[in-house]
Parts: sequence; C-alpha cells; structure tokens
Amino acid sequence: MVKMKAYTKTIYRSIKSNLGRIISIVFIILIGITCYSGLGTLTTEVKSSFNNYYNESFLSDLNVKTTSETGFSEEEILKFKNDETIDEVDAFTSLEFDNYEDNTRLYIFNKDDHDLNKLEIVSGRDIEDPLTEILVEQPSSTIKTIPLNSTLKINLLGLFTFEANVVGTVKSPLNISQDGDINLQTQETLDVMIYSYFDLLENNLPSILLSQIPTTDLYISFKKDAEVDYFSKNYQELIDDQKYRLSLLFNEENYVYLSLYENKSYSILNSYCDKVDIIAILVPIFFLVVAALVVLTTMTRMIDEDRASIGCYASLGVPNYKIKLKYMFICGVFTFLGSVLGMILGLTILPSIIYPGFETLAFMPPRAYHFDVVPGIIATLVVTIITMSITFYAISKDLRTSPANLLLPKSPKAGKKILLERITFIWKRLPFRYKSSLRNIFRNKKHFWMTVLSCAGSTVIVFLGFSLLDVVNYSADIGIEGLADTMVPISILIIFLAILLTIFVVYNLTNMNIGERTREIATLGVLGYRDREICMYIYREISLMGAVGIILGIPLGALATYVLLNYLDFGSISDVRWYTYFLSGALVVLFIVIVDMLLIRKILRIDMTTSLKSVD
Amino acid sequence: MASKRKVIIVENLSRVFKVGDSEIHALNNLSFDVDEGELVIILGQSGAGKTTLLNIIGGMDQATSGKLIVDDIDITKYSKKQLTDYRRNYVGFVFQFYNLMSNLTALENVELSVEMCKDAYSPKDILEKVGLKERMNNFPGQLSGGEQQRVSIARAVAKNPRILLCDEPTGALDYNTGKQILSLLSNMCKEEHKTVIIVTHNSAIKDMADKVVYIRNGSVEKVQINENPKKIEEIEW
Repeated sequence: MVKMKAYTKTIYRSIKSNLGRIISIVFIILIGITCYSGLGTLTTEVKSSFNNYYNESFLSDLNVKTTSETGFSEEEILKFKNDETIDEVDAFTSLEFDNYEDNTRLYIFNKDDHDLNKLEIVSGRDIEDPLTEILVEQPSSTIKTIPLNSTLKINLLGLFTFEANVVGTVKSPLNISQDGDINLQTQETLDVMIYSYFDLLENNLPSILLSQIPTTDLYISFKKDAEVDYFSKNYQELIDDQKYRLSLLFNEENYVYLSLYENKSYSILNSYCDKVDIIAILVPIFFLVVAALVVLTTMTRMIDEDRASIGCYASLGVPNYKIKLKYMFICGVFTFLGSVLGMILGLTILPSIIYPGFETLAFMPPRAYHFDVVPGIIATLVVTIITMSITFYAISKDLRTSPANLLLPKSPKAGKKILLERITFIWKRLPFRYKSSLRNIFRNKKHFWMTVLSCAGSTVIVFLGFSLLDVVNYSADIGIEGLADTMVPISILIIFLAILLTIFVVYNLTNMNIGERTREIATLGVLGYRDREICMYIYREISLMGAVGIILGIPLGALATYVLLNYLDFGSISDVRWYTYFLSGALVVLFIVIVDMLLIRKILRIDMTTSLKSVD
Repeated sequence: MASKRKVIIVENLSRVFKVGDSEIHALNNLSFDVDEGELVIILGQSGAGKTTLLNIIGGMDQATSGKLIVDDIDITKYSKKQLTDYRRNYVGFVFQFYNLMSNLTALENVELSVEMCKDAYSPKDILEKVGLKERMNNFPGQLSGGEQQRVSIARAVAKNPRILLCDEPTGALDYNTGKQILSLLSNMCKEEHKTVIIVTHNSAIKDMADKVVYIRNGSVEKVQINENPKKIEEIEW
C-alpha cells in the first residue's frame, strides 16, 4: 500500500468521520447548482434549436409589404435585388380574405423565385402539379384542420371561385407558434393559410383578373458572414439599421417593413424565453443561499469540534497555513464536487424534462443539445468563494488564539437566563425539558439563526414552487394556455428540487445536532430516560427552530413570489390559493418528522457508556 | 449480629467481548454481595474490569452469563425496557465528569431527574444537604468542579434510589475537594441509609469503606471487610 503522509491522513480521516454531513453538503450544493445550470441553459437550448431551424429553412430577415394597389413593380423589385447588402429577394403575393366564413391568407409564390422561408412538409407531399395543387398550414389551436387530398373551394376576394387539391400540410418558419397568425387588416385570427404557385391562378383565373393580381410582398435576406443568432442583440441592431437604411433608400410611404420582431410566433417565444430567464436567475438564488448557509453551518461546526486537534497541530508547530488548508480543501473539494455533479445533472436531465413542455407553446424543432455552461460556472464560483471564505474566516479565528488555549476544551458556555424567563407565569409552568430546550435554542444565537434561516429558506423555495404552480394554473384557466402550460413542468421541477433540498437541509441540521449532543444523550440514558423521552429531548429543539423558520418562511415566500411575478409581469400573488400558505408549511413539518423518524436509530445507537468518558 | 438484607448479589458473573475471532473475558466468574446501607468500594487498576462491572450493575450493559440479583430479582435477564426502568428507579449514578445539563440550573438539574421518579425527595432539601443552598440557581458553568459534583450527587440521591453508583467520583477533583465529596458520600450512606458503591483505582480511600472488593483480571481477588471504617478526615494520600 502506498504510504500516506500524516497530513494527508488527517484530511482523509476527517472526511471519513464526517462522511454523513459531507455527503449531505454535496447533495445540497448539487441541488442548488442543478437548478441554476439547468434552468440557465434552458432558453439557450430552445433558442439554439430555433436558430438551427431558422438557418436551415433560410429565414427571411425582412418582409416588405406595399400598400399600393398595383403592388411592387419590376423596377422596384430589381432595385432591391441590386442592393449590395441584400442576398436574396422572393417576390410573391399574399391575399387575405374571407373564404366561406374562414379567415384565409393565400400565398402565391413564383415557382422560380421561392427560396426563403422554406416550408417543411408535415404530412402529404409537396406540390407536383402547380396548376391544381396547394399546400395548407398545419392545424394548431387556431388553424383549422383541412383533410389531405380534399378539394378546397376558394372564393378569391369575392370575385372568382375555383377549386384546388390539398396535397400536403406544411409548417412555415414564420409560423412556429400554436397561436397561429392574424389578418393584418382586421386583426382577426386566421383560420386557413394556403400556399400556392402563380400557376394555379393562371390555370383558373381569367386573364383579365390575373393581370390585376399585384405583387404585394417581398421576402428579403441580407448578406451575412456566418449563421446568425436570431435572438441576439446584434441581429436586432442589424435589422433595425437595415430597416432605417432601406426606408431612406426607397423613400416609399407605401412600404411596410416587417421583421422577425413583428412575427407573432417569434415574439411569443422570445418573451416566454425572457420569462424563463427571469425564473432561472431569481429562483435558484434561494437554493444557493440555503445551500451556502448549510455548508457554512457544517464547516464552522466541524472546526468547532476539531478545536482540540487544531490546537494539537498548532502546538506541534504545524504551520497555520497547513491547518487552514485542510479545512479549505475539504470545503472546496466537496463544494466543487457537488457543483460539477449538479452541472452535469442540470445540463442533461433538467432540459430533457422541460424541453417537451415547450410543445404546447410552439412547434418545437429538433433539440439542439447546445449547453450553456456559463450560469452553472458562475453559480459554482460564487458558492465556492462564499463558503471557502467563511471557512477561512472560521479557522483563522480559531488559530488566532494560542495553541495552549485551543488545547483546553472551550469553556462550556455559562448557562444564561433567557428573555422568556422574565415572563414568570409562563416559565414556571414549563416542564424542565422545555426549559432546557428553550435555553439551548436561545443561548447560541449563531446556531439559532443558521438553523432558522435554513428552514425559512427551504420553506420559501417550497412556497415559491407551489405558488408559481398556482399562478400558472390560474392563468391556464383564464385562457393564457400556451405560456401557462409550458410553465407547469418548470413549477413542478422547482417544487421537486425544493422538497429534495429541504429534506437534505433538515437531515443535515438534525444530524449535526445529534452529533453535538452525544454526551447529553448518553447521560440521559444512564439517568433512566426512556427512548421516546431521549428522542424528544433532541427533536424538541429542532422542531421549535423549524417552526420559527416556517413561520418566517411563509411571508418571505409570499414576498419572493410577489417580486418574482412582478419581474415576470405575469399573474398576481392573489392567484395563489389560500391553502398553499398552509401546504408549504405543512410539507416542511412533514419533512422534519420524516427525517426525525430516520434518525431515531442513530440516537438510540449511542452507547450510554460514552457518558463515563471525559470530554474528548 | 443479625445478618443484614442483601441489596446486590453478584454470582459467577461473566462478560465476554468478541473481537473478531478472539474472545476477551472482561469479567470472569465474579461473585460478591452488597448489604443494605453499606459503603462498598470496588478497587482495581485500569483494565481490571471494574468499568465493565460498573456498566452491568448500572444497567448499561448485560452480562454474558451468571447472575446479578438486585432486591431478589435477577436483572441479567431484563429486557432493554426493563433495564431503563431499573436505571430510572433503582440506580442513582454519580459520574466522574459530573455530566450536568449545562443549560439547567443546579436546582433544575436535580428536578430533571426527580421529575420521572415516584418516591423522590424534595430537590431543594437535597441541595441544602449537599451544601448548595445558596447556589441552587446557578448554572453548572458558574460552579466549581466540587460544587458540580455535589449537584451530581444531589441529582442521584434525590431520586431516592436503592443503590448510589459512583464512577471515580473524585477523579476530576483536587485532593481537598475530593475528600469533601467522599465525606459527603459517606454521610449519605450513614445518615440517609443509602447503599453506596464507589468504583475507583485509588486504593488510599479503601479504609473508608465497609467492604472493599478487589478486582484483578476480571475476577474478584479478595473481599475485605472493615469492621471499623475510618473517617475520611483521617485518611491521607
């Protein structure tokens, strides 16, 4: 076996003897980072999936419409085509009319001039006979279903009627939303969208009418160096600049420039991504605060317990930096381990769960699997730096006292009367077990607040998850379907992670409490306390602090929800159902009870003879 | 002289620990008895087996074989729950390191143990008897070692147990304080008619006992009866 140096051995032993709490630290960090990196990468993944799709379907950058009765002239189109910055121009006709009670838009393309906004055949086939065949937009929540191979009667602008064969349903890159599109004049939702070639009209319309069909639209794409990010600021600036430049160049009052930003489906998706981003930034903060708090509590208690051995090393002349390094190492390694595992889980599993949820909002292109590691890395760095600096502070504080002092056990804190004792008529009536618990709770302020805040933080997150779900469900009920439906999996995921985090937090706190009270537990055993009485002696404290935490956590949770909804510009705190306030508190109570049950064995396993030994 | 009632009868008591494949005989066929109202010192070097014996008499551990009869009942066959009741009602334990609850006052520490016993004494009276009338409302951290040990004795006595079991009661105290504590235990024995068992390695105090049980290698080496135990003040070490 490789011989380990004594120093490495002490680190190894410390880890081994603190394994339970170290594992729970790793998990708590893992949950926090999973949340941060997973939600953080979500919109990146959605956007890059759409970018791929947009690029593959040769998305146009501008749709120029003219309001002139005669449409674009050949000269005008040529002028666009000759512009140096313009790559491609598709001229076509778009007609919107009432077709037998259906709000209909008819696209009429030129067969040789149809390169942008490539249609994807969803079912059926592409047009083979342009004289008789058409394609229709796939059905969605607004677009109605038109059976394949059926004959569609078209009453063109109320002037002329003809029939066409529906051979395929398609998906247009300009129409990715479940919410469809609207008639630009009447603002009414479109029921039918038809794609056809000019040949169809040539075949059906008398030439006198045909000559009057204007070229109403141009799809334009600009020359670009590489694939563009359609969701980036750069792209937005490029389009805005071009719009401005073109409007000066052509100086035509009849022209209307529509960019991606005026596209309904794009803007729904984009604003939804913004909302997810807000959730992704705000919600995990609570997870990370709780995680950092627990790591802190654990590390400071570990250092407190190791006081004697720290003193021993110091007195043996081990340099301070080496003693500090040990705890920094333990803190750093396990925070980092939890973070890396959290990032792996967050980047892989979390988007896989939520990505399909976007289907209710938009027709999702294939997933791009494009990870954004930045939020995870930032969160990892922040958590690691915070926990390591507090560990450094705690150990440095210990090392400032002389080794001789450290070797002595910390003088037991003198018992103190607490404020409650002044209210004698209550205090007198309390059994000693409660007096002891209450004094314990209020004696160590640091301990008290760390426990209370950890429980409060857990309650806040659980509350946040449930209230978000309430708001989302309420919005779905009143008809904001797409957005609300996609938020459901996110809310459920937050609830799930919050529950996991709470269980680990409560476990860690209770476990540490038992560790610190081993001697008292053993003494109570010798004095003849029954198993139940001993367990209650420990659990009474954690339950009381937990209760304070929960009572603090619910209003804080409501505040957090209020702030979050404000940023989201979505729903209202009044949409949260009344019982959510109780439910989240009751759940945390339930977790405390479950963890207490799990740890009963640990308490009862404590050997009574521990009480006979000296302190350390 | 009519023979006194026996509170404890230890009969062929053995305790074997299994460590891997080997067996360690911590107690080996040990026998002795303790009369009511007697002050017994169990004396032995470290490793002799006195802690194991203390654990078994205190109801914290169970013998492998043999009998331990307390008030005519063999407690070696007791269940875990019965042993808890035994510790609660029969044994008053005085620890070497006091083991007081640091966040309860002296009085509350005594009240804590009395709370669960039936025929307990008044905690205030007992604290007065151990000389802590003025310090009843102090916390352990505000008391000296000797005072803390007095609280610990008061806590054990107040339960009105059948046996007062003391584990190296002077082990953590200085010479004079130790003497005072022993004197207090002796008084408790004589004046309150308690049966007191002191487990120690300090052979100098053996002369204060009514009976000394010498333990060596897990067996009783000899039992010595002092017809005229010395007063603690007369003993020097």
